[in-house]
Amino acid sequence: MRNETSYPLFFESIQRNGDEFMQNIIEMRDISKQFPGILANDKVNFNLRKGEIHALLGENGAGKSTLMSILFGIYTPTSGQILKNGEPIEIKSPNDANDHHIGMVHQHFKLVDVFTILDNIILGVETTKYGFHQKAKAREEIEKISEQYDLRVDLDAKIQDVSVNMQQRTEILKMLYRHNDVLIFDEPTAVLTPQEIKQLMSTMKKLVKEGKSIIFITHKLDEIMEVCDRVTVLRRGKVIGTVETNDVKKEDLSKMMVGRDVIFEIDKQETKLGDVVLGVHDLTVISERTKKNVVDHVSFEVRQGEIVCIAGVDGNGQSELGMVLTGLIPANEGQILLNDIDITQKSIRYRNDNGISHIPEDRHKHGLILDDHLANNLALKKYHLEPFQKRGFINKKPIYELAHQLIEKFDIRSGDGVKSKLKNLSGGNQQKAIIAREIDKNSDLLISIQTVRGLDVGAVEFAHRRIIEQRDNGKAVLLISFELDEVMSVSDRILVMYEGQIVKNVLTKNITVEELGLYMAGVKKDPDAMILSSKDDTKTSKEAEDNTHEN
Amino acid sequence: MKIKKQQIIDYWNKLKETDGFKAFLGSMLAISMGLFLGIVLMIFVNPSNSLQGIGRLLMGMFNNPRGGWIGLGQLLYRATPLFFTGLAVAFAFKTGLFNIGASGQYTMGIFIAALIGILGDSLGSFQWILAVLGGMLGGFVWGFIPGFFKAKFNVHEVITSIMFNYIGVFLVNGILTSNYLRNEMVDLQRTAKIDQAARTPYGFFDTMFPNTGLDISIFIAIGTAIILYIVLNKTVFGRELKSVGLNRDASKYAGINEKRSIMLSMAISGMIAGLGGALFILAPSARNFGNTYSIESVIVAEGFDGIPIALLAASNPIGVIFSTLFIGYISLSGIPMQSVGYVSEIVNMIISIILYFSAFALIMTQNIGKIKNLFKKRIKKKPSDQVDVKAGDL
Repeated sequence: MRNETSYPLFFESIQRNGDEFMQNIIEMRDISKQFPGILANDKVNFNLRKGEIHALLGENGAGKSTLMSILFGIYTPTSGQILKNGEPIEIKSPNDANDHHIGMVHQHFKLVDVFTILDNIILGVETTKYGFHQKAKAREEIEKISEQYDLRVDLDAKIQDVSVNMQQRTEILKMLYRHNDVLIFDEPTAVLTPQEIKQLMSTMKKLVKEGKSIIFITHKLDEIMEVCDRVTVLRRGKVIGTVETNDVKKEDLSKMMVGRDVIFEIDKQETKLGDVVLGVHDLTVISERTKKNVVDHVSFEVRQGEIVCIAGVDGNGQSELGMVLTGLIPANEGQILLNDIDITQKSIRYRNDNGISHIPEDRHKHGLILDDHLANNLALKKYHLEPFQKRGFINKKPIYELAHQLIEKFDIRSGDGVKSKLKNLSGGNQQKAIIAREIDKNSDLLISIQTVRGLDVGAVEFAHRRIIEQRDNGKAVLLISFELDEVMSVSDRILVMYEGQIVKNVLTKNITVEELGLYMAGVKKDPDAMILSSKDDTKTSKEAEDNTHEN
Repeated sequence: MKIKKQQIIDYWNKLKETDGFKAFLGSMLAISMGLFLGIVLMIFVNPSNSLQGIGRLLMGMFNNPRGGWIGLGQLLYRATPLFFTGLAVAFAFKTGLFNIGASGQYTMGIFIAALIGILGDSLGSFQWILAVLGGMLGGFVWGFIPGFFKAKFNVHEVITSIMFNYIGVFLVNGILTSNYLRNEMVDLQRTAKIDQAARTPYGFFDTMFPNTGLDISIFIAIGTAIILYIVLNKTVFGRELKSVGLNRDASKYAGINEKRSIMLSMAISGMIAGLGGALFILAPSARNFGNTYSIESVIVAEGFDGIPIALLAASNPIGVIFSTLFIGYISLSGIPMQSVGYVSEIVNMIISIILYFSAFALIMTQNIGKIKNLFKKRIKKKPSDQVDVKAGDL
């Protein structure tokens, strides 16, 4: 389909955007948005044609979210103009956006957990008669829409009981039920499995066929190449260019976005495996709510110089596994050994100070104190150690020195340097701050959960490089990831987790993505891995050894 | 000379950006707006006497017939308990907790201090010190319990601490009227007097401010404020307490024992309130009804009065000193204003208005940049003047 050679210069295509032949449904002209200390959007021009899928691409903090928040009425621009169908409109709140039929699927869904899907869809636009609900009518209409676009949901299920995938479909139905014709998708694929991503892509294609127009925010270049018609690239608040996907290659896009060449293939040197750093034996966590084994008799080992990745679809016990290893929740059964010392009952501080670094899954909840400034957050795990304190008194100077060092080394961008409040940083820079803090600790074991969530390709490359550097320096790394790209490119060994159990233990080079997907979906199970992960400790370590010798 | 001026300007610019300065500015804004509205109200209520009334409102301690100096002594004496409850609430606020239970903790402080002060005859000259420590312990325990429920069972501290106000008052009443203590301590509705040896020393205040009742408690209050400031801002311990207040989960993740922190925060807050109660009942002056505790079924007001003080001070312990002095100063105007035809409650109204504004002031100082921009836009219309003035100044 794609012609990769004919248009090496993508700037040509910008000039072709005269838009004589196609109608712009949304036009954003010279949009600027000034935040204290940062110009988030600098005279941004953005056009969305009717019936196209238009990707918005940019680094963390490039201003994509700001631009879309302006379009959706969450922020008002400092200057600039928005036109719909050629007529200037004013969007002061999300309600205005809704009136202009602009809808958005947020990265973090805006759904009421204890309501049914039906109630969530009609929330705020209920059809009433004499003040009473007319749910039957709404249901009929929603069923029609869901049939039309193949968006199957169980209308009577509560949000808290359904999968992330169905929650997303609910969000899409919400937009369609409101007759929105401009649909904004903010990183919709981050939470989905490969199969689900394919499904979403086909839904998006169907939507544009029916005359909807889509703005698609993503960091994943492959997805852009697959579904999008055009891409607008932002860098540091400015538009770098708008190009047709047919005219460019993946590498061009990443270059536009980051301003330099990005290397997709990570080369990894062979390393020698050393001693076992983390030993997990028969570990079980019972959920307080459901009383089920969310982590079900799991056993494995991680050695010096290897990156072990726990793959799986979100919600199969990986989060709990990460939390129990780092001490955030207690283990109900089993044993955790760190450098042959039993840490199952040890405090979090003990684990932090004795060789565990932890990049947590939820950066706002666990990783950062958002109301505190950058320097304190970068020293969050160190302030109780010399030289950051002396006889119980905080020593500010080394804390600031450390902060300056890390900001430079990890390129953390913020408004007021070390004194910036974390809540004023963009999501990607917040994540960078965590990565900086944890890697700087130089621990024997790095446990990293969803390391690159919300990071752009440049930052992903950077983070992965750092993680591999840790491994090359003889550290052990345990990665928990829901993203197959990351799993395949970074890890040395993969453990697939399904319903709390490890169903496959395999060297990365010995498995394909497709096969991995089958294990992740629970279609295939490796009885060996399951036995290993449940009972026989000695066999596990032996098996691991065999694996490593192969390596 | 020029360099020095530059240094001052630099220092000023730096100071302007600190959170403390912004909070100070906000409080000042709130106070001036509150006073302004209060004055408008006074003119509206009683126009003919308004000039005199406003005069007396602003005079505060200078209304005292024995002169401003004695007025100051009186102000400090009356403000001392509020220092402690204000500090208690402020400390809890800083660590993310809302201690509404300062009254109960204060009462417990009074109770234990009175117990030791009346029954501990054998303690000799240590009696007052032990009574003070006992009062602190009483407050500590009474603060610890809501903290415990918050940490272990996630019960909101506002609910438990309010309940513990009542439990504290009625428990004390119950114990005092029980068979064990009634004969020893209680005479009708009042306890016996505190022993002379158990009363706090005047220091040099009885000669400095004769007959105002002021004693060394005021030093203890200011010392407590300074200690709290240092603990909160300079120590690892205070940093941990504040971190837990800002984000409990992240603090746990960072290795802080967050449950212990919450319990300690509440307990220390209670301890400060208890200290205030102890020093109140042990005061050497005859002014607090001859150093007796009267058995009533009403929650003492001092604990609640601490909340506005802490709010006005933006929970800064040093700020609490000033906000207490301000509220104490203006409270002294109440009675003198009655003689010119105003009810003394008008002072409470003004304090309430100031509180409303101090909540707004927080928002205003946070958006001070925006407010400045509004002004800048106006100034821009005649840019030449502005530039000239600036250049001349520098």
